[in-house]
Amino acid sequence: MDTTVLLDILQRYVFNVANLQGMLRLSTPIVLAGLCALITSRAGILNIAGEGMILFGAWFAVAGSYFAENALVGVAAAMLSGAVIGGLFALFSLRFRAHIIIMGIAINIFANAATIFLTRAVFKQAGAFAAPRIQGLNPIALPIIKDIPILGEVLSGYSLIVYLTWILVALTTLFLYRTPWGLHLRAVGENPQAAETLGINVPRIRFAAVMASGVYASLAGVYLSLGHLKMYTDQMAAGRGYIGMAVNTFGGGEPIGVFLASTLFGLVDTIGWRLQGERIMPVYFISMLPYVATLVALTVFTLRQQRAKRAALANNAEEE
Amino acid sequence: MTSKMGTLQRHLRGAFQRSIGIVLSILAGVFVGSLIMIWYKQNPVEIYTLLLKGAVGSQRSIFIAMQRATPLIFTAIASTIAFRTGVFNIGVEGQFFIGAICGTFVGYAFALPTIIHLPLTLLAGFLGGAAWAYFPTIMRQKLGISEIITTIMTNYIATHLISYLTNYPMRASPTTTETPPVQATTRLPQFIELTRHWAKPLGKGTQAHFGIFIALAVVAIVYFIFKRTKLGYELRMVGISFPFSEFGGIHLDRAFIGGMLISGGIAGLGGIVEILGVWREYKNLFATGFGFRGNLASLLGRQSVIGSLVAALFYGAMEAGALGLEWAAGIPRQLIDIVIGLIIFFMAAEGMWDFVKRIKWVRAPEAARKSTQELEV
Amino acid sequence: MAIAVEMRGIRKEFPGVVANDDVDFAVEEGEIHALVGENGAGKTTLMNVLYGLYHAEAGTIKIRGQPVQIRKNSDAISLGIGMVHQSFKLVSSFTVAENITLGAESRTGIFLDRKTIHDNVVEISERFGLKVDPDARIQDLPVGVQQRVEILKTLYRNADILVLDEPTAVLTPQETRELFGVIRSLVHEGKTVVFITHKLREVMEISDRVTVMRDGKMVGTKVTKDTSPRELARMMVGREVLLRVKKDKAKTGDIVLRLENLKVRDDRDLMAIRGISLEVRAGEILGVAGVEGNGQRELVDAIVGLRPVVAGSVHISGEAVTTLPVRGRRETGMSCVPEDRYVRGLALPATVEENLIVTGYHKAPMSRAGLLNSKEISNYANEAIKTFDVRTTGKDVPASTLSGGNLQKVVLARELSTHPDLLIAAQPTRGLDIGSIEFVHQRIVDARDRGTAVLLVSAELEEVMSLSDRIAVLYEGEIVGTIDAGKATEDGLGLGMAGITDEDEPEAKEAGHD
Repeated sequence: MDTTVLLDILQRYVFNVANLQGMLRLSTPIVLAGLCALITSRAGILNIAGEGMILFGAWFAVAGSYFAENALVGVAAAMLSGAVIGGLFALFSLRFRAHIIIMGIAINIFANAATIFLTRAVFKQAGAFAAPRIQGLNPIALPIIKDIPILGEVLSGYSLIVYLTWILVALTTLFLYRTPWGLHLRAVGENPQAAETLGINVPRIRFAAVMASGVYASLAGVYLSLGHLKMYTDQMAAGRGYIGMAVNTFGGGEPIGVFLASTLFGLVDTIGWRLQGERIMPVYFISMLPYVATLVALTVFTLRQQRAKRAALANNAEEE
Repeated sequence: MTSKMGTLQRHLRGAFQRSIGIVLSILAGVFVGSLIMIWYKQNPVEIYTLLLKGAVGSQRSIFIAMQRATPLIFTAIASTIAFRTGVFNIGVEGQFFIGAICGTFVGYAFALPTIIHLPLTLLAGFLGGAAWAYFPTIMRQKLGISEIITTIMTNYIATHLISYLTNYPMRASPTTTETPPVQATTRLPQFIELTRHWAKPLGKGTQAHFGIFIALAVVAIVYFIFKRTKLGYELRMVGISFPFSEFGGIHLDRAFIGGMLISGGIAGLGGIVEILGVWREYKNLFATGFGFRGNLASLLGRQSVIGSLVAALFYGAMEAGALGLEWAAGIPRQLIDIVIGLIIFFMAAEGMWDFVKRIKWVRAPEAARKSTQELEV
Repeated sequence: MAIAVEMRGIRKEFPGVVANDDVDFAVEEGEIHALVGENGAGKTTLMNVLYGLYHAEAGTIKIRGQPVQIRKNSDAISLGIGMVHQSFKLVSSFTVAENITLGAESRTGIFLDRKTIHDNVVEISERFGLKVDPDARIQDLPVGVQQRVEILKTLYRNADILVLDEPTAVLTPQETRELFGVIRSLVHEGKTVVFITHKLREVMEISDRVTVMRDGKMVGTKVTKDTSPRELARMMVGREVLLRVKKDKAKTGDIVLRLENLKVRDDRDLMAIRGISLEVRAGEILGVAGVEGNGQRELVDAIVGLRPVVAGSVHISGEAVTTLPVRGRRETGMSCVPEDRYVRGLALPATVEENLIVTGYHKAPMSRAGLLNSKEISNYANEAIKTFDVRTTGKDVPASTLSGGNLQKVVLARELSTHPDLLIAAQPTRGLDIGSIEFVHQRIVDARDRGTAVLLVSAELEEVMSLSDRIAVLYEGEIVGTIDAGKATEDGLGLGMAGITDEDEPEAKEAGHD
């Protein structure tokens, strides 16, 4: 294969405006799911209920938008549902000592059944629900930026939720490192006893973190149901809650890391769609790629971390 | 030394303590479920009656419950083994499917006498599941990477891998997404197939099959392993404490990896048994969620072998009831899934029933329990 | 003088144990008050009640004469009480300044005011003469400095009653001296200090008054200069301490344990054992003396097979075992009483029986062809419980229901009932009451008399001196001298343990060889 062909392939399948747009779009729910995993993992909680929280978010976004004929009401309803599910999750696992993983699995199974049931009970539909009354989040053209060539095309023209996600990445970073609550949250995650003896209310912070994770996840649901398609489909979270855990691990528990890891996942997704259209190879291998990549990355990161630690120790040893 | 009488009383008290939480959880779940049913403009009493009938009301419903419970017994036992070895095997889901596809391949690709073919097929299922558990196990053991994340990843990889296999190399014909049927020599007979000509056939209108006997045999074997064998002792000790086991001379890697491989293997065995008994060919993602529900059943059974069996049977009965409800009254079976979910929430929430322990008779007089931390103070 | 703390009639129960039984305790303002007692006497529990971590079932507390209710530890903090726990409560990825100010940070608006935080920490560290770098991360700091950060944490919260829970346990002698300097200057600044310890030498050196607890009860309070270590010891244990163990002259046999130029790294990958050669013969006890952290742990781990050896070799009964796993070494007749009883020595949630059989379950008679022989196992367990006088309600109860002394008996029973050729005993009496200590000592001497070679590693100099036939002094991963126990003096060993000082390097080394 000579270089021109390779460049051609790269341009056609990877680096073109449509792909980059697709990448940023498809990464949005993953970023939000990643932040959901991040905020809990930094508080020392393994939250695998993201999947269920996203499902509820997606359903309530559609329901809110349908009944109020207003997309923002949908967003608000979804966020409220996220906070409530998060609160219940926190209540049961933190207050009533339910096993946190079991609780997470149970919530995911429960959310699956509950959203299917609710669609049938409220909308008398099975499988999916779409209606003209559902208002979606429309694309917003960013002033000034939209007129810049290429960059304008890549960065402008997304729905509110995409921009909100980018802002949330920045806000979460600020929160973690620049505010007392962020400091407390990280202290609780790393050494809860230390935090406790200083009068920090550990259960309250964890409670708040789980509720916040519910809100992040619900926004991922909003993107899925209102950000693009304006419809609700059964099981539309499609594993993004779990992918969120992957990108959080991949991104080292840092918001910006989550963002970058998510764009990588988004890119793989977009390429997958393209290649599927071109019938070059079975799409299943492309779909498998992010998960394999996460495993490989985890292994490489851990190995590198161990090596770095060893190097640092060796350094220390020399200084002594 | 405690007297026989005292021991008995303690057992009774323990049993009461354990069961009171379960009973209250079921009541609470049923109650909240009733509220939902009323909101759905249904009469809860009628629905629960139908549910019970669907679960255990007739010979047919019992056989349906048995069929639903069979794969859950495997996945619950698989989770329990992992739990007892100190691992949370969320990967049971993926191992179940991989075991199924591996076994299916052996089941259709070879023509052998039953006496060889059936065990070989089951073995292929076991090995497939074990192999799928291998990588997360190694990553945890050698690199300390949480098995929760890695097994979630391997679950998805399994899903996509199998989609590929059933859509390309293993499909029966270019127009289907199923594998060819397994040979008759490997099929596990369904009760109805054997008793069709009886005056009163067993399991009429159900696909309940002989896999239940394999499931019960696995329960018995695993119970025996834990109680009576070196391996079982090693698994339990490794599950309780790595440093202690290592210091005592137990080969950590062997016990830990062994435990996980057996866990994965039993999950895979569950997958192929489900194929051989019910489906007879691999339909893409023929039965999702058995793994996760197995995880739940194991915890509800308090991570004991017998408890897992009971929980899996209960789960199976509820599902049978839900199906019956949908057939008989057109009520979405998800409504019952919701009730089961609620019951699980309440059961898992041990702290919710703490007040029970404050009742005088229930409270043990000399509950001498100290944590490591308190001992060190 | 004004009373800073007055606790009356404090009662605190844990399931099955009365940790504090009607305890009265008073501290005067501006004094250094030592609170002493054996491990498990209830000292830490009492202070945790004061600090609001535990709730007393009964009793009253007055601070500076005012009756107070301390429901949670933030109440205690706002009353000016600060506590430095035995295990530090620090967030290791945070900076010193973040740790000191955590939970009481200066803010501007909703954000952290990093400059003020930094300045406050510098100011407070200068005021009390506790030098720290506010921007250093805890994970990079040595233990002594971490402790300084812990003290600064309390001072930052305006504590004027400081409780230090066994602060010297983790320190080198030099760091201990520094700490004592800090404590004196704190008192000079008007602070009150409660100092928990069980080391009488420290009590005599630092405290103004001393209170003794035993078995959860208050024994009495003395003015330090009017009492003696002997009197305090009697108060602590209720009888004279037997310092010397009765034992005959050693009848030594062949070499059982031989280490050749052994080199081992620690968890931080630093060279912890820097080329040790030694021999232990059958029928003798070789004591390894030394301040903790000089390689004891790594030495034991390397002999037992829990830690890879960088260079050199380990021989047991003439057989090279350097690359054998733990079980392989145990098969050669090695056994070990480990230092961390609750981590390695025992699995607390497992039953007593399961704890007893971990070294022998894999072979006949306890198992055959992969199957456990429950009859043999229960005979063995019952026999071990009887022989080693383990007080338990049965072999099938969880180990966690036993007391500390009985748990160590379980470990001893397991490790000694096989009549090993080699016994490694690491800190075998740490945290035990006097009765249990005697029991353990007697069993070790009995084993020696039966011909077992014993390597005793202990931080308690008295223990090493009274049990050993020969004593090796370990300093910074090297044996700086080996000496007959009969010729050893506390001062001579102490010099060796103190190692090389800046001024007189050669002398110190020779003293060890003396």
